[in-house]
Amino acid sequence: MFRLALTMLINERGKYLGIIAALSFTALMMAQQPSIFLGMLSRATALIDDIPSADLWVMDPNVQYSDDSKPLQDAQLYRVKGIAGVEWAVPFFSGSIQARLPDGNFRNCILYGIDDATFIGGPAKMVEGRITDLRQSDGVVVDAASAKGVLAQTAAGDQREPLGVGSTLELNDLRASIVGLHGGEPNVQSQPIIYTTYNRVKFFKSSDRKLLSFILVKLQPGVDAAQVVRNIRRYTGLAAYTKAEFSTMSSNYFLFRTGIFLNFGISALISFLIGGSIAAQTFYNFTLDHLRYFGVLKAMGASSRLLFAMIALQMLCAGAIGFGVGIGIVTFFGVVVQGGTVAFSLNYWIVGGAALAILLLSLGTALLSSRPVRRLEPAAVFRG
Amino acid sequence: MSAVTGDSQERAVQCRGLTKSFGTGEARVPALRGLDLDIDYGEMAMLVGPSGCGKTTLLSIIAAVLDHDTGLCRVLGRDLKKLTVADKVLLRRQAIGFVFQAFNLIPTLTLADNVSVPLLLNGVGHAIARKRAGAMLDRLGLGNRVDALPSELSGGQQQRVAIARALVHGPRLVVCDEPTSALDAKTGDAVLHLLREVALEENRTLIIVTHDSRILKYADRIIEMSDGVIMQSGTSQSPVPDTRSNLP
Repeated sequence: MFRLALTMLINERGKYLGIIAALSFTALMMAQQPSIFLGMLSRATALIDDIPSADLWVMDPNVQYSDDSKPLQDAQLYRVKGIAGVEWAVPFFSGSIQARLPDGNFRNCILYGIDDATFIGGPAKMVEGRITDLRQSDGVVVDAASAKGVLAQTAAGDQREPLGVGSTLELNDLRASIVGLHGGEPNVQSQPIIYTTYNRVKFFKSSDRKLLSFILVKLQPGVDAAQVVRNIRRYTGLAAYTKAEFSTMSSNYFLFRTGIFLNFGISALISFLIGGSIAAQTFYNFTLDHLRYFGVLKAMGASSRLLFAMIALQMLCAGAIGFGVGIGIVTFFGVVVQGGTVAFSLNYWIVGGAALAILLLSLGTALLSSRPVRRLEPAAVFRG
Repeated sequence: MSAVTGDSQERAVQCRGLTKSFGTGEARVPALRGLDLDIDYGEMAMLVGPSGCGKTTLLSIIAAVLDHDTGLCRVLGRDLKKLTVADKVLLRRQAIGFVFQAFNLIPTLTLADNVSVPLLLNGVGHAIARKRAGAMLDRLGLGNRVDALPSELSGGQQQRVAIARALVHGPRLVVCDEPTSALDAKTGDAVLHLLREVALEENRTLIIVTHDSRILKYADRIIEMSDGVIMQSGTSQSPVPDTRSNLP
C-alpha cells in the first residue's frame, strides 16, 4: 500500500512539484540564513582564531569584541611583560584606514599591525609572498579576496584588474607596496584586511597618539592561566582574557548586543512559516482532493492507522526530496561564494537543524492532513 | 478474528428488527424501522424503492461500514453488534467486495494497481497482487489495459475494473451501490450480466441497490423497501439474456 501511496502523490504532478518546491525553499532558507549568520559570526572571531600562539589577549577593560579598538599606552606592553608567568608579550594594532587605489577610488580597510620582530599576529595563511616580506620598505599584505574583489582597480574598458605582489596603493596618502596576499577572511563588514608591522602602523597613522590595541601574551609552560589573568588585571588595570574567553565574548557581542542574530532569526522563521504554509496547504489540498479515495480504501478495509501511515509516508517522502534539493542549492551557493565577500559557513548542525525543521513540518502536515481522513466515516462512500 | 468463511448452515445475511436513525432529539430521522431480512449464500438480491426509503442505509449496515441502533444483523455468520471496529475492518477487508455508483477508481493509479488494492490490504505482496489483478482484469476483458489509467477508459470499462477490484480477493459477499446508474442501457446490461456471471461463482452473495428497473431481470430476488421497512420480496421471473458478446 505504501508503494501505491507514493504513486498517488507522484502522479499528481502539479501538486507534487508544488509541495517539493515549497519544501525546497523552506530547507534552503532554513540552512542558508543560519549559514550566512554563522559565517559572519566566525568572521567576528577570525582574528582571535587566526593567532593560535597567543594564550592571552590583554586590552582596555572597556573593549567588548575583537574589532572594538581602545588604544593603550605603549608602556603597558612592558608592564605586561613583567608579570610573572608571561613568556613573551607582543603589540598588536587593530584599526581602520582609508586606502586610495591606483585608479583614484577610496576604500575603507581594516589595518592590523603585528610585531616587527616576530610577526606574531600575522595571517594564518599566505596565498602569495611571505609574511617576512613585510620587512621590505612600505610593505603591506592584503587579503586575496579583496585584492581581486573590492580593491581591484578599474582599468580601461571597465575591466577589473586585481592587485598583486608589486602593486601599490595609498594608505592615508602614504605609499604602500603589496608584498604578499593572505588567505584570511574579510571582517564582519566585509572590509579588506591589510597587515603591516606595528611600527609601520605608526607611519601610516602618524596622527594617532596611541596605537596599541591589544597585547598578545604567551604563557610560560605549566603556569595557571587564570592566575596570570588575575595578576595582569591587578598590576596593570587592563583586562585579560584567554583566547576562548575573548572569542566567546566577541561572539556574544554580535549575538546579543547587535540586531544581527534577531534579523537572521526572523528571516529564517518567516521563510519557514511561508514555505511551510505553502507546502502544508498544498499537501492538505492534495489529501482533500483524494478524500473520496481514502474513504473508499477505508470502506475496503484500510485501517485509520494504515491511512495515516500512507499520508505520513507521502509527506515525509516529499519532505526528504525537498530537503535534499534545498540543501543541495545551499551547498552549491556555499561553493560559489567561498573565499568571496559573502560570509558563509554551513555545518552539520545547520543541516541537522534544517532536517529537523523539515521533519517536524512534514509530520505536522501529515497529522493535520490526516485529520479529515481519520474523521471520515467509511459509510460516506455510499452517499455519493 | 479469524478469516471469514461462509457457513452453509446459515444465511449470508440475516436481519431481525433492525433499526437505524440519524440525528438526535426532534431532528431524529428513522431510516430503518425494525426491518427483517434474509439473503442466502449464492443469491443475487436487489434492493429497490424510492429515494430515502433506507436502501443505502441497509446496504451500509450489511457492508459493516455503518453501525445499526437496535436489532440483530448477522453477516457471513458474524453478529455485527458484537464486532469491534478492528473486527469490522478485517471483515470488510477479507470478506466483502464493493462496487460503487461512481466507480471510485483512484485516478492516479493504473488499472492493475487499482485492482491490487484489496489484495495489498490483505497482505499479498505487490508482484503477486499485480499478477492476480492482471488475471482478473483479463477475465473481465481488460487484460490488455492493465497499465492504463482509469481516465483512459469508458464508463463501462471503468465499472468492469471496479468489479474486478471487488472480486479479486475472493470475497463471500459483494455489495453494489447503483452499479449501472452512470452507464447507458446497453453497457449497464452488459455489466450486470458480467457481474452476475463472475460474482456468483463460488457461492458468493450479491446485494445490489438500484433504481434501474432494466436490470431487475438479473436478480434472484427483488426486495422492495419503503419508509425503512421491506414492503415485499419476490423472485424475478425474467429470463437472463446472454450479453457477454456486447461488452462495452
